[in-house]
Amino acid sequence: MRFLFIDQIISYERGKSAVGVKSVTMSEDFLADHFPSFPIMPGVLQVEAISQLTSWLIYVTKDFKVMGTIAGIDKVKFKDPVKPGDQLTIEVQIISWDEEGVTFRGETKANGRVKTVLDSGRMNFIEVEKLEDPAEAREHFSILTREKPRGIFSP
Amino acid sequence: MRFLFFDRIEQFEKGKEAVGIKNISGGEEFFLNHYSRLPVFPEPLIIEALAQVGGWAISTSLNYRYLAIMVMIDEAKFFKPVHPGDQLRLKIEITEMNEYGAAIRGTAAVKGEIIARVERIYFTLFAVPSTHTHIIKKAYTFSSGKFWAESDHE
Repeated sequence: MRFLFIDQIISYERGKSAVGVKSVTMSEDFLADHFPSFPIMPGVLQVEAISQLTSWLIYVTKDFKVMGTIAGIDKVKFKDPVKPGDQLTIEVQIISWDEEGVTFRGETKANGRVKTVLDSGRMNFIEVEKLEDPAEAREHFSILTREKPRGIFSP
Repeated sequence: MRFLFFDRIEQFEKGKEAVGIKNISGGEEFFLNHYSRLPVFPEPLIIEALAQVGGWAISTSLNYRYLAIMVMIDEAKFFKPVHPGDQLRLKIEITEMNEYGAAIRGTAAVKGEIIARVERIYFTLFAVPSTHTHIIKKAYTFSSGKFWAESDHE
């Protein structure tokens, strides 16, 4: 299973906010244990989705050179369960920027209901090439934002 | 990915505290792309590991009559990255526990050094019907690293 919790980036405003989607499906293997016969998307993986979207927002704002890693989470509330079949919308906003990182907040929603609220958290910057191949990261980002026409024979 | 984030319970004092361990293995699936050049154990899964040790401790303290489900996290801080080969020592203290809910605080350490701390994790409790407590007991005894309970003759 790939540890990717953003399936699409719907919109973003550099330096400010982003909206993304994660589709939750029965075939995701962590659902087998969480919980047996009662699949619920784990709250911490929604926190991961919020963090990944924030990291992508940092990435595009800083000209594809830098990503974010989680340094702290101040408060998260799991308000409503997320089930397979839900299309989870993730919204993040950056509260403040400094030299070393950002303070951010985020929310997940599905079917018009708020599911998880992350009041504030902290991500620190790290150079992309320390973690990923920069060309692959750029490619992945363009797939998430649907920049490129999708097709087997695309250039 | 199996969603079980502790391997064994090393210490347990009913109603008070528990210590569990989790081995970090390079073969765990999320390391394939987290990250492709440097394997880092995802920080939210450290919270989940503490919550699972906490949930085990709460449920066991209540004789498997309740399941503890995490509903809120307060003040989680991550000091150092965790890599394959590390062993996480997950120490939790139960700060509150009654028939409506429970709360823990916890630390995760590698080689004696605390690498993450969560000030509070709050749980809500779901009652387990008496017809099903033996299932929970069996699952929780297994996940604690003991493959059978001290007394199997109930």
